[in-house]
Amino acid sequence: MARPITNIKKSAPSEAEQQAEAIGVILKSLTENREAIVETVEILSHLHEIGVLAAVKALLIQRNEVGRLAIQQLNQPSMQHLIKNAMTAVQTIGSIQPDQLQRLLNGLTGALGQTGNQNAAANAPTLWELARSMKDPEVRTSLYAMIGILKGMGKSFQNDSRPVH
Amino acid sequence: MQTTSDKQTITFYINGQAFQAEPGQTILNAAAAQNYIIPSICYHSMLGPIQSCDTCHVGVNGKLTRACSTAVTEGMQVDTRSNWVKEAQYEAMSRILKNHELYCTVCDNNNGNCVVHNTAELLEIEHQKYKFEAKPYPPDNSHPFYRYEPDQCILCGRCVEACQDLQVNETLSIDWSREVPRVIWDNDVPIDQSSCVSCGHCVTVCPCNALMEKSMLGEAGFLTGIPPEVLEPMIDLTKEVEPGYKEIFTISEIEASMRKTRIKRTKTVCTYCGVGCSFEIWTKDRKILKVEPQAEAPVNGISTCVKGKFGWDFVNSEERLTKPLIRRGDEFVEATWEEALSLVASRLTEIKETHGPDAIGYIASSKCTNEENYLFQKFARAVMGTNNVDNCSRYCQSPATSGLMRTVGIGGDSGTIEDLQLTDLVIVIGANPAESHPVLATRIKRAHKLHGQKLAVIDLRKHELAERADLFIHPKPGTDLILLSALTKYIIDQGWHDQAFIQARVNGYEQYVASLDKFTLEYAEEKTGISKAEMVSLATMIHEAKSMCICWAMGVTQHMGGTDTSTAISNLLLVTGNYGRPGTGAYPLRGHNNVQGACDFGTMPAWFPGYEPVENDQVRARYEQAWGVTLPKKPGMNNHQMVEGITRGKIKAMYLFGEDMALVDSNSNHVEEAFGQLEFFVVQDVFFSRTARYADVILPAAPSLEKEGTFTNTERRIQRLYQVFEPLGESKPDWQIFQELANLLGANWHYAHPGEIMAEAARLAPIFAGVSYERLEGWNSQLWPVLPDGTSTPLLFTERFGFADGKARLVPVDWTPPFEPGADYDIHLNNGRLLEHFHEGNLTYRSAGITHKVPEPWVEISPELAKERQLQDGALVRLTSPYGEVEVRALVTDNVSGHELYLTMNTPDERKAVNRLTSSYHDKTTHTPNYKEMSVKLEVLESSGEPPLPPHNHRFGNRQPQIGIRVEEKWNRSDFTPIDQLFAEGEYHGETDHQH
Repeated sequence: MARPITNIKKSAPSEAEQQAEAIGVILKSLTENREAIVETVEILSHLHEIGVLAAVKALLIQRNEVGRLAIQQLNQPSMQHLIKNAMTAVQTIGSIQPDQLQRLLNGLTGALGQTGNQNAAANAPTLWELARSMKDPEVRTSLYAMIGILKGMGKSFQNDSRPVH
Repeated sequence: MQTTSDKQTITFYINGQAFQAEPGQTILNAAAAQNYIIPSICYHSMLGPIQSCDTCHVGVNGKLTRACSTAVTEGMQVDTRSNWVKEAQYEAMSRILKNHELYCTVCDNNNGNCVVHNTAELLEIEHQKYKFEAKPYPPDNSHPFYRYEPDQCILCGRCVEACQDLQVNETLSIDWSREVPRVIWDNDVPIDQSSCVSCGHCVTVCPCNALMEKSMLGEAGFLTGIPPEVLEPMIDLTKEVEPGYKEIFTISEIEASMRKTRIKRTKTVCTYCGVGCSFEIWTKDRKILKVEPQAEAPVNGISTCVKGKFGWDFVNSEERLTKPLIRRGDEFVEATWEEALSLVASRLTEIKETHGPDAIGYIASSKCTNEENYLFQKFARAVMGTNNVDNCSRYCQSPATSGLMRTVGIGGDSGTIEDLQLTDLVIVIGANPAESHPVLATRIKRAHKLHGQKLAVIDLRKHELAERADLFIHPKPGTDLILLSALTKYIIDQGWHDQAFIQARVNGYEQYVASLDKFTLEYAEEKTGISKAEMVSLATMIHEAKSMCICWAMGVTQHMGGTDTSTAISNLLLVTGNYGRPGTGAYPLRGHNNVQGACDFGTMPAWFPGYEPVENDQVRARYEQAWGVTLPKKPGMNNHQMVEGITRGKIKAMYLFGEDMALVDSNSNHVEEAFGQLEFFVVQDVFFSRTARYADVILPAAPSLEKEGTFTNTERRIQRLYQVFEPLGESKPDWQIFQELANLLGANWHYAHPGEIMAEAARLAPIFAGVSYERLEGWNSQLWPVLPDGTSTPLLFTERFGFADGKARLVPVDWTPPFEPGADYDIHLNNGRLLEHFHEGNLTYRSAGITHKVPEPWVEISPELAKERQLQDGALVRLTSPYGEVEVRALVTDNVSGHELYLTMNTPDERKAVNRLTSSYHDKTTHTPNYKEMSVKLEVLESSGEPPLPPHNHRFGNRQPQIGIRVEEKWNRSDFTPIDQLFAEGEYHGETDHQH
């Protein structure tokens, strides 16, 4: 014969029991990963010594405020330009064919050497001298390359239609 | 791609490469069928072409056309790559991105399945033409389960299409007439105050993050929890500096793939009704992020109802039972499993030895798996030596099963949800599928709305399907059998019966026709209150329909003549030849997720698994050999007989799992009294139920999300569920508990996985011969009978009926007048479930959102009766029957009429529970209680008060029916330029000579 009852006596584990159980689980994990743990502790100790941990801790505690400030700073036009320019520069370098760049840079190196020699002469050439230098095939090759560069640039300027995001 | 040689196929070309298509197939589908993906956004396989996003434009013969809505023709040349086509796609995608800010990495929808993200990527979008513009509307966060963010909404209309034409709740539309269109609810009210039934279709189909489950927000991503004051400038910054979308997409994809490591996606099967929806559950540790249905789900596709989509909070409830409890004096004390199980083992053994094995009763659960039910009946029969095992189908669908067994030989739905979709005529009698089988009802509503299906409803209440029906008939309570018999007689008298079918496939026709003599239209009119004209028009509908399905449920079965009325339904189907063809048959809609499976797998006093009689010596010998024991021959007691057995001193102990019998059995006062007399009572459940209060030992069980197994839905479809979580606390899956207990009693079972239990059942029961976990993997399913090679039987009776000679039987039945408690009890009491709560609400009240929508039960009172008794919405009334009384608040509604009440059953509170009023009378064949036969006295305690149903319940909403999203209204806007007018082959980049 059973009367309907609703009382439930919960034998909730005492705090000490819960702790003991948790410690058991932790100890097991520690012993199983002994080497990794020891190494991690060493790293932590160094980080602590040089104050990195304290800084990271402060950052984490203030993460929303810090995040807000950081983003605020980053979101200024000058910073936007900096980031965008850096990304554009990286992209541009990425888009150049290496052998072309190499040729251009070799040319530049040669040019710098030549300029050095000319500086030693220190005198500006007369127009006549300048016209005469056109006879030199090296100068003509170089000028032709320069014209190519100007042409390419002009084309790019004409087609400029900047995208919307 | 394989095609059979007799099937006509069309060859067409995409960018010069040959593809095959079926006639009528669209370019998009034909390409997808051969793994060629044409990018698109608004198209969804379950919704069809919506034609609003324009991203799927392709070139055909030099002109642009939408791939989603253009049928393939022989030799068609489709161009997806030329510059002019790409320009068109870019234009379309830019229009989308004008409405949607791309911040994928910090978006909760960035889970690899975001359609907008994936389409932008497939189209290789680097930049957008038009700047993003926020819409002038704030987000709508009013609904407890989901939000709408207009700023992110691309106006593709998937949500509207799903709401209007798949779920057919007709709440959402796009208001194309405003300067800035948006999705609106009803006539533009906050979501929470609309007619939204919280089914989740719109959220599921949303191709981006405009509609999101609130449980996902700030939870799904690694960065999505960032507070808005940091997040917004971060998005700005990203937009300022980003070089192009390719880099952004790369980062968001890395983040999406990182999410896979911590968001687990598990397929499961819903436990809230017999429809058998399956879906993925997304979880992060023990948190449920969302329920994500998939088009692959065999029954529901992407459909769900509020319970399946949002009702799972109970799993993590603080109130779950997590340790075994043992009664000591006036309290239950926590115990170890060893203590609890050895106490159960020793007490059961003691009682068995003293009083014999039949002194113990075993109640199984229609909420638990097939494997658990199989194991429980094996435990009762093989270990404990009794056939006293039954399940709760006794309370609902046994009469339907019994009526079908008599007439067609198999007690299950004749076909599947597909037959209900394609049939000409659906008759729903004594069932409210829109609330009790919501996803099944969506398919009927859709066929009725879009495809001209006829719908007739016979019911006391004007429920949703009744409102939508072509014909709604309201008979006097308990007279369905007369109506059905009169219809059948009239059809035969008119010569409308299917003579060829009857002659070839049915026995007992002459005798049956003779039994119909008294069921004239005049007699029926007098008894049912339905006019002859109405009956003739229903008979004519039946006659004119080439195919018919009849759905029924508790309104038919929970009567003293429940089996006979079910028989009359089947007789009508036989006489009209509506069995064995697609779109025909009998559909007794199963109430609980595994009512079908519990019966199928043998928790019935007279049947082994697969409906083989325990009395049959050959069958028993097969089980005795397999289990190595001698089995009892005599059929055992059913639920009802067990309760009677307790009061008569025959039953001394009971073992019950997953069933709150003290609340759900009729005349519950009487049942509780009986439980108090048990010498020993074991209750195994997920929560501390009303029944558990009488227990001596309570065992904590794990619900469906914490175990593997299979369920069988109303279609006879077996589907696997996979484990989402570890069992909470020390709770255990029921099958493990049975095994441990059985082994304490010397059974020596070694099931390591439910798959092994299913394999054993498949070996022993011929109808499951080819069932296996391998064949049920993932979204696969099997419908019994399953042949040894694994072939399912979706449609029964195509060749033969379930009797030895293969012929069906017409069975004469007569009317049993319903129980009348006496003239003092002058108001008829009807009762049942509702959409939002599962049964008495034991699980669903643990969801704050559902409780917000429906906080308590109510009694529906007709405007006439309200006037007569001078009461208003919120009035407190006392209902009294000869068996008990309840006090509950009133809702005045014309769902009910005259002196008929409807009391909802969503309460764990005994003072409001309908079964305080019901009697112990029952169906004479199956002992199913006559829950639907009661009359009461009504006293008004307070003539007005707080209405029991809050104004933000969907029942007070204001539906806005329309077909689809009305995309023409978008096309007619002055600011819309059709994309096909902008670009054409050879007319690209200034080389044009076209007119505009």
